[in-house]
Amino acid sequence: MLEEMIRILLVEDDPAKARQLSALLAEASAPGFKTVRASRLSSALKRLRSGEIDLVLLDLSLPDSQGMDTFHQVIRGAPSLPIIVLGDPDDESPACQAVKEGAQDYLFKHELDSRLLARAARYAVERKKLENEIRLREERLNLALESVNDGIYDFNLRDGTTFFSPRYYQMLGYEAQEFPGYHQTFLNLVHPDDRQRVERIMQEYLSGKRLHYIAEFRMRAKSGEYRWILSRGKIVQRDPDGKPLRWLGTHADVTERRQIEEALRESQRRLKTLVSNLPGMAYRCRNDPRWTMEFVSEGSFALLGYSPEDLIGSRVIAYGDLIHPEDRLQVFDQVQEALKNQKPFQMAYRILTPQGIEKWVWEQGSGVFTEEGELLALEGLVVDITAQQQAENALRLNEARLNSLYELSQRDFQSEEEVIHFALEEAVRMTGSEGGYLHFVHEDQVNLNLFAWSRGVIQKCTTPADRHYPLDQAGIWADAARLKRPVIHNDYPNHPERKGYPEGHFPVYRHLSVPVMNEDGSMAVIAGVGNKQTPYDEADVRQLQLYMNDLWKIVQRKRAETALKAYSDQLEEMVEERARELRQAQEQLLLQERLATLGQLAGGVGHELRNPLGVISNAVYFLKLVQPEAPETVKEYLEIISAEVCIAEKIIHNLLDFARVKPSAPQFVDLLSIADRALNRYPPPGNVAVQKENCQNLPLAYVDPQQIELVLGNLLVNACQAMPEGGQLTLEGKEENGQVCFSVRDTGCGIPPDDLPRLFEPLFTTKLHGIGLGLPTSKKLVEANGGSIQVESSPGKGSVFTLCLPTQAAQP
Amino acid sequence: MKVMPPILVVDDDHRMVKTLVDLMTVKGFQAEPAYDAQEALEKIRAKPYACLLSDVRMPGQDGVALYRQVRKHHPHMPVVLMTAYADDDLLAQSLKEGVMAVLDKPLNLGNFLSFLSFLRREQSLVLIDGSRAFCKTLEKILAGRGYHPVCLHRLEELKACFEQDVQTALFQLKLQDGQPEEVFRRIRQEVPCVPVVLAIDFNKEKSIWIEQARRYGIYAFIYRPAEMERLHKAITRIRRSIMGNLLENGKCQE
Repeated sequence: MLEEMIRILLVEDDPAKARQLSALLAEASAPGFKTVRASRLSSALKRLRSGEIDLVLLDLSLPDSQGMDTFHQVIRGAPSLPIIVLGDPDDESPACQAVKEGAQDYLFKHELDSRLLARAARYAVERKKLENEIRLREERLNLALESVNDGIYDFNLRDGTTFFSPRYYQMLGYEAQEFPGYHQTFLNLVHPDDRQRVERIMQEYLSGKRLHYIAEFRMRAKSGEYRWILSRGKIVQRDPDGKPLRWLGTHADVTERRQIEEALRESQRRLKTLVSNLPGMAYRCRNDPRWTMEFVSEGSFALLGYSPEDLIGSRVIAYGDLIHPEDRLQVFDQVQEALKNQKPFQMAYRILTPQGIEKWVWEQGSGVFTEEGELLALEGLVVDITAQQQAENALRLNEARLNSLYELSQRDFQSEEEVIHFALEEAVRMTGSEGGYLHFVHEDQVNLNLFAWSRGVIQKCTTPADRHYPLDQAGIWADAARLKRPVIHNDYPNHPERKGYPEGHFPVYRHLSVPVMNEDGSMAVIAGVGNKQTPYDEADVRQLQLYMNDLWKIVQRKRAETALKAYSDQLEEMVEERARELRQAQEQLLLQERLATLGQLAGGVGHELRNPLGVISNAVYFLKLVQPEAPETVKEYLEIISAEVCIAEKIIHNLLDFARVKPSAPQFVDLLSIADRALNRYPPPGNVAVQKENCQNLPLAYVDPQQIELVLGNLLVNACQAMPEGGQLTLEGKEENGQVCFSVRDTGCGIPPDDLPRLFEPLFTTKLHGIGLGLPTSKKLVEANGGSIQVESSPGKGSVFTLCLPTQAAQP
Repeated sequence: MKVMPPILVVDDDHRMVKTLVDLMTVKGFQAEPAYDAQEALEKIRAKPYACLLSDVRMPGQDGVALYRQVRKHHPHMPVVLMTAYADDDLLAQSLKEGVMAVLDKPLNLGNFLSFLSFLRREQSLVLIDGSRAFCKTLEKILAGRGYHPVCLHRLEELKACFEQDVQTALFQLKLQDGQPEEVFRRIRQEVPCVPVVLAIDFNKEKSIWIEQARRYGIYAFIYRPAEMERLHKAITRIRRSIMGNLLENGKCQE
């Protein structure tokens, strides 16, 4: 050992003793000691502060300090210096006390010799150095232990005693030393579920099975809760046989770490579950045009038909190649635009797999950037929205269909044909077809009535000449009607049962037709569309079927409306007709009343006039008898009176005939003989020529002869009066509708058309003389005999009155 | 010319009665007035009248009632009614009961006077289809019944005979010589207003004659000697028919 010179501060108030000691030290061999003396405490402390002292020799009794105080003052002033206390042999206790409190040694002044002193000094310095070294290390260890926040234990394997550090207790919520330091105490605090495992691990380490001892387990804290402890340990002492004697170790509270780990594990598990349950494919990919995948979730298989392994690194196929060619560029541009602004992107586009599966997808994603803004990758989610897209399409089609139907029901169409043509164009438009048709199935369910084609068809086709033919002769296009369900032919030209087109038909490559049923299940309509760009699908079927069903309802409703209107018109007409009849009946009634009054009046007046007329008639006759030779003037006047009486009588006769028509007493009679009698009774004047046409062999009329004679007489007299200048009187018979008709025609002045309707009204007359009862009476009589009377007249040419009379008894 | 009893004219209208009575008188007929039914009945009870001409509607009994009274005692007296009113059921009934005619006023005086002339003459002709002996027999029988028959032998004699106011003539038909229809036609032509009765010995061949005769207003009477009363009735019926026709339309035949 290389010894150095030791610098000693000698604190001694007694100069004699000081000299003695200095001398003893000086005797020591080189390198020796260098001694500095201080007689008082204050000067000693001052000296210590200036440094360059290796050892203090301290007398406790000083002028300015006594006993342990002195020691305390000094050790405080130089804690790292070794102190040797110079004791009083009479009282060793202060010196002993000082050693306990950190002094290196104590010496009795009287026992001192040079060698002893030197050795004591050197030992003191060396010991203090070691002490300092140890203290330093301990401090460092403490510092380290404190910095890792670990508790420490020291397990004595021989007797089971164990030292637990304050931190050890604190970790579990105890005060230091609160529980006794035994190994068993430790074990008792370990969680029962963990205890066996911990003991096993310890045993394995002790037996050498394990190279290291590390265990994690739960320990019960004072509060009752368990803390997760990470325990490490090492055997630090063994006996010469290698048997372990001492085990040192640390405890760290890892509860928080465990919780974080647990949370992390849970979070990872959740994330995994989430990703696998996502309705689609989660991904992480590079920002290249092929979208080379770095991560793909399991959803890729359902979405694309490829597993994540196929897609990652584009091992089998690149995601970019699965995007519909028409949409690829747009997708790339959209992503780049979003990345430029470091914003998320969202878009919908189509997928087209090599297997021909087309899907609509929706993607949401964003770039993953470093803090410096460097793009690392893209992350996002791709979801299948084909169903939504289809639903949206269906919704759009539904809306279009409903709009069209609304318009159909609102617009004022002129005809059913117009309605159907409008609807047909709409159906063609909605299904994206080139053309369409709508044909009716006849009520017999056997025949078709080809009704309407869309403009597109009409322009390209010639309309067939025969629009009616049996359903069973129609081609496959009419399958819908035969099968009573919608039919799609997406490959029409290659259909095995196709018959071929009639002449003038344009080629059909796709075809869809639907049947429309009546409520009773019978077929009403077959409607179809053709040549859509893409294959017809269920959505088209649905749209066309629903549309045509509603169209048929509208057509039926319009038909019903038309029928109702016709019925209503007819009803109106009937009502009007009825009103007219009522009006006529009323007029007739009024007329009847008028006639009845007239009849009574006529009867009364007529009768009263007949007596005076009779007297006049008698008187004239008498005068004629008694004055046969009277002057011509007298005779002439007598004739005038006579004639006028005759006319008056005729008028009265007519009045009375009219007033009282007797019930007819019909029998079978020859009209010619009746006409002859009437001609006899009212002979026509000489200037009237009588002609009879077709009067022989007429069927017998079943009438009252006297009444009809009266009628014919009236007509004859009227005819003759219509021809004052003479003319032709024609009687003509004919058979008509089971009746026998007899007409009286004159070549007279005719009757003005305005007068014709009133001709048979009582008291209507065109004659200067006459009260207008002849024709009404005739009409009454004819009708009483079940016949009718008509008149035709052309002014200036003449009139013809025709009687039509029954030839047999009226059926009751 | 035989003198005929007067004609009774009944009407409540005095001027009507007067003019009619005056007319008849001028025409050589006797006529007497009555102004209601009661008066008429009294007169009829007092003496015979050739004919009764009565208004229908009169104060007191009407003309129909008057006729019914008269008929009780004078069933053969011709009764003629006249009326200013349209005929009704009552008048139709009276015609059925035996009224000669119902005439509308004003009367057709020509017709009425023809009727009176016929009434005054009381002529009739019986055609006998039988032997001359039978003709003579019938002549005797008729004479016994108050007729004064004259036997004729040629058709040419007919007209002159009746113009001389012969009342009843017998004419023996010799139809086996000619067409019976021609004979009937000529008889009607010669004496249109004389009642003619065909007395015939019925057998089947002659039934056609009866039909032909009827067409000329000649009524057949199937002769049996014991039934002279029927001959008389036939003549009376024919007379009535002729009188009715004369009153209605001025002709002897329908």
